[in-house]
Amino acid sequence: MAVPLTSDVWTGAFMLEQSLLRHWIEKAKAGDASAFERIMVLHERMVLRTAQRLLMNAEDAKDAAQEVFLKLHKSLGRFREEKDLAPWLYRMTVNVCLDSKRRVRAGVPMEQAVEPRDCARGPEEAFRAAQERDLIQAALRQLPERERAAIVLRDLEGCSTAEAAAILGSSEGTVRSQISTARVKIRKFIAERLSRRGGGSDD
Amino acid sequence: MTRHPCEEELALYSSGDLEAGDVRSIAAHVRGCAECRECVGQFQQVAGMLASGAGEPSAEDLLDVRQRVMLALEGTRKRRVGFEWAAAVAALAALVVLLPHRERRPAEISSVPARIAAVPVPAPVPTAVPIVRRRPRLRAPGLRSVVLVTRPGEEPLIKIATTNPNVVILLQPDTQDNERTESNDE
Repeated sequence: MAVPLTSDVWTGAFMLEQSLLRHWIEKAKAGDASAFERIMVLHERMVLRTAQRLLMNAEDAKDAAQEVFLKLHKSLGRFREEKDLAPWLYRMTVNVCLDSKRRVRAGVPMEQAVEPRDCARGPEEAFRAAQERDLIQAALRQLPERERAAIVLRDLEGCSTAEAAAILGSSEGTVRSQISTARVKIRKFIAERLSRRGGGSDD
Repeated sequence: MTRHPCEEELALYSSGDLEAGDVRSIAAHVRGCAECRECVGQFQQVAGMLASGAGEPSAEDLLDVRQRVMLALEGTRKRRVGFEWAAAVAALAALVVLLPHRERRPAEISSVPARIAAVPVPAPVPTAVPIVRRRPRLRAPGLRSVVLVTRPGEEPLIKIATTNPNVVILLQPDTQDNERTESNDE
């Protein structure tokens, strides 16, 4: 019999995950490689996804994610509480990506490496989803790095403005300004592209 | 509010990111302005596209990153263990070579009790014993000499000269990581 997923179940699952995470952090600090791998499994999607959205290149994103987790392994000793881990990983991912000098690498566009969210849908819907994904990635690509980082954290990763500001090491006012500017640019970019497609000059 | 809010304000208003002081006046304007309502709707539509359509990393990419990290960590661990072994072996070798020096040391010290020193010793009778040259002490292969170098204010060093005149090994006994090899200019 299926158990309905009430908020209590989600809260319980979250608490279980946090206590497991605490346990794994302690074991990883003591040199347990499998515990560190479990920590990675729990956070790798978040780190790689953020890196892909910031760098817009699958290979560079993988390099950045690798660097982030190697830095995490070196810094495990500083974590007192498991709740500090996710913000630290976000901050490190943003820093590594912004520091990366390999922004543009020809040959491996990110779109090729991103798998569709739902493989079960029909070809027409999958095609439309792929077009939408291309459009969003093109819109993100035209943003300056700091604006892109702010919009990725706020609108794609779902962080609050305060959390995004803490991760980026900026004031809330600065991040709010970056988010609003980025949203205006994205809206204009998408509107232009869609009107061009509507007019038959699709590129 | 009579004037239209700017696009940036509407962008923040659409997601509830506007500061509390501005929300009421902009909300009142948007309620009565079809143009701004449409603009807010577009921002919300774009936010929905961003949240749902940006794509996720593939399972292969996730596995690839994890394997690369675990391999890098394994390599680091092996190098560290190897270095610790090498340091331990070098320290053991130095200890083995130093032990005979330590056993001889008390005889070299002239702190002989006076009572024993006062016992008359008969004068040696000269005999025609042929002089036999002492054979050189056997040394461990590869080693020429081992000297404990002490300098005021600095950590003591073990200096190991090898049979190769160009190689001198310096060891810090209490910090094994500081082993290094330098060339000899002699």
